[in-house]
Amino acid sequence: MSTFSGINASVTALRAHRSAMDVIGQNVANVNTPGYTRQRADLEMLNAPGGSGMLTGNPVTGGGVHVVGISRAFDAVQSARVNVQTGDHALQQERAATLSDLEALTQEPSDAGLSKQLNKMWAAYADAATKVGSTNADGAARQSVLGAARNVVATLNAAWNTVDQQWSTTRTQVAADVDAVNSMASSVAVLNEQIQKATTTGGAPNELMDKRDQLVTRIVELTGATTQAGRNGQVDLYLGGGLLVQGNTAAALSVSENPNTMSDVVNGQLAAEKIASTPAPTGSDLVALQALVAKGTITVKVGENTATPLSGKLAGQVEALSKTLPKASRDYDAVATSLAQKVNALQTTVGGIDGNGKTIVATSPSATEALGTALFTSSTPNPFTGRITAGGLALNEVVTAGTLVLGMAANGAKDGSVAVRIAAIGTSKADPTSADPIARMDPPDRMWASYVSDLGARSSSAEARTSAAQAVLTSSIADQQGAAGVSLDEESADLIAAQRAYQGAARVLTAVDEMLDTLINKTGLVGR
Amino acid sequence: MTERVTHRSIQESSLARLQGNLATMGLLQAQISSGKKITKPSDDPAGTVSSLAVRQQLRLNDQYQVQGQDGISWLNAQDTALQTVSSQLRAARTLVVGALNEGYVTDGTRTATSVELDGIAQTVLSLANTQYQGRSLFAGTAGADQAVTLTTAAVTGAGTPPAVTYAPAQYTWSKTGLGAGETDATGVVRTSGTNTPVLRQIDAQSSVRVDTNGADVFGTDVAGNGTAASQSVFSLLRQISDEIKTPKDAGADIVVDPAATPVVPVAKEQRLSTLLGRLDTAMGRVLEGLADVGARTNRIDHAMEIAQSNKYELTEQLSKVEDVDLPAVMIQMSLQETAYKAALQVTSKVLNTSLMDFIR
Repeated sequence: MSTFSGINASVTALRAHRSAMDVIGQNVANVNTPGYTRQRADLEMLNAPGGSGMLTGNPVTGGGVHVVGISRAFDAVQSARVNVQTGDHALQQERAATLSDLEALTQEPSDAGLSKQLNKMWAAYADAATKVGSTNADGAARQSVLGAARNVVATLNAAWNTVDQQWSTTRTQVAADVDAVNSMASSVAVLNEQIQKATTTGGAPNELMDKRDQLVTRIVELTGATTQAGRNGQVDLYLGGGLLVQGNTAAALSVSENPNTMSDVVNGQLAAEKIASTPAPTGSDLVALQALVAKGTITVKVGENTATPLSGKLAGQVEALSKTLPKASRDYDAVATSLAQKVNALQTTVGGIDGNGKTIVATSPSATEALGTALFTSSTPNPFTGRITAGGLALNEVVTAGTLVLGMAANGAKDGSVAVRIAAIGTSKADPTSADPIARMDPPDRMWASYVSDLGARSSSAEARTSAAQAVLTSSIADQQGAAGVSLDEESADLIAAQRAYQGAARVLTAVDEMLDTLINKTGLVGR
Repeated sequence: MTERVTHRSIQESSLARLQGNLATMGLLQAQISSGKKITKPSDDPAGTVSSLAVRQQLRLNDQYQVQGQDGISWLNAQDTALQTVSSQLRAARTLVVGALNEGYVTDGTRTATSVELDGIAQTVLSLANTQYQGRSLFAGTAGADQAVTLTTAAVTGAGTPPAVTYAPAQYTWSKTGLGAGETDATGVVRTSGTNTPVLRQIDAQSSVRVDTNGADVFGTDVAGNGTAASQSVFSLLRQISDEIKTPKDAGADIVVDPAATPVVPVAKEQRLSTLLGRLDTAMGRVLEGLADVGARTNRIDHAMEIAQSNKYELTEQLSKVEDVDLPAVMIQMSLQETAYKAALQVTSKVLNTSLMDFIR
């Protein structure tokens, strides 16, 4: 036991507590830094040097204190929970946003929605029926039928185009997000490597880990990847069965080049339905259909492997691209098809008479004859089914106010019975037993109402799920922040403790110093 | 419950709660400022569907009102025309009765009476061709400009008219429906042709005919008529006029019944009174037509009243589905405001203090 060992112990205490105060300083400095995990200087007492020689057997005090490491208050379970909730919340939010956009597009219920436009058109037809052959009023009534029909077409066109644009925007967003994920994934791989180096050389890569974990949470939010702790403080990321980051290597996340437009997706779906239908197509037809299905399918790959993101923004986007938006588009198409086919069937009825007194005859009209031509046409009919797309729906240029068929020739030139029947389409019901495919179809008004209500119900449940996910996420973030966050109260208390310990050590040093002073300077001076 | 609470965790959770409070305020504010409970379908999917349905009902109701109004205009126009026809025929009857009573005083009187009757015949014919906004009132949906036209003029034999071979004029109605002799939907054999009716839908189930079949009211002519009860009022008036025009004893007698063989000459007075009887029948038909027009007007009036009250009901229903209950939302809003203010105050206090404030 050396006379100076007391000094030594005090010096270790001074060093250790200064170090502890440094850590407190770092914590306080980062009290508001996002992603920061509070740290602690872990103190350990130093053992007394082993006894030997002549002094063996005497009681010995320890050798002071030292900092064994600076630990991170990191809770892997809580952190994983936050990650899972983040991914889920991002998915629900994306889903709700897509549906909310679609529902805003319907402009229902209001006077600007499609139902109002359709109602106006039917009313215009009903009005025209009463005005057939009236001086002055006839032409005006026919014009307002055309005007109302034009408004319906414009509303459908605009809505369909907006859905199409929403699809393209989402597609572009996916590409941008994938780029962001790839850049973050390589940063995670680089950080993993640095962490491994620091860990194996005995360093404390706490800040590197915080930085990495923040990136991981961001990747999880975008892709719904799952995390798994690796060796030496590293983290591996799995995405739908693929390994996105393993140790210090990152695989490239990619989304297939096709589909490029929403039509590709819709055509792919129609082709798939055609393949499933009876009689099943064979030979070259089947090959062509399968090519369309492949072109319309969006695939996500991690490296070379196909992966299916189950949560995160990417899952929501893929769902919007392959299901939600194409479904909305096809619903618009169904409304347009019903409208066009039902009105056209009556507009081209054999025996109908137009405003110029011409009668539709059974033989097909010549090319220049507007009589008996459909009111609604489509510039881009869907393949396979000849369905009319809401985007390509147009008024037939050759149909003018005069050539609009409103009555039957047999009832006289001033008959409006066809217009009455067209006006009744809005309130008609589908006849499921009819042999006529047009009669089996629901009227456009009914299709539209069911589309709007279905969309409303889905959007409202998506909103509810988003707020539930938000609440869960908030509480798990609060939990995680509670464990990992910096508490200023605690830091203040710790600071006082460290400060007092430092002062104490200094006091011990002074005492030893005084003792030595007594021993060295005062010894042998008694009685002088 | 968290084991450890830090300023960050309090900040995170109080921010989330403040967000929730503010979002609710925003929603209420949107409801109050727009006055609508449903601004998008997801606010109330079921309510949206009923809103769409009520709007469609409202549109139909408006349509029924427009159609009913139009129908009433049509029927009023017919009422005016038929009232005039009726008074004209009464005037004609007075003339005929006068001629019968006073005998055939002078050539001048007879000619004047006959000219007057010709004038009445012209008026009645033009009334039968009355148009409402370019549409013939008595011709259904037929496209012709005239509802009824003279197709065969009266034929008199040589010599002083009327001759034995006198044949009354024939007027032909436009026809787009059933012909005379065909059976209609109710199983009645038509004595005259019909036109396709002009219909106005006045409620979801029923349409009302707003025109009148001219052939039924004014009568119809057939080849060689002058005997059948269905003789048109135009040809009847012409026949009476021609009868009165000739002096009592001059010329040959008008053959009242061309089918009778041998031809039986009948005394002029007797012939005139026979024609007078037919004039009464014709007047009866016009009055029947008037009554029918009146009945249909009543029916539309009644339907319009119902449509009007339906409109109020539907508007109220739509308002119940779509519009906000303003007092209730205002109370909610002020409650929410209080909650929000309290949350802000408490949060600012909690986040503001730490041990730092209390140590030197």
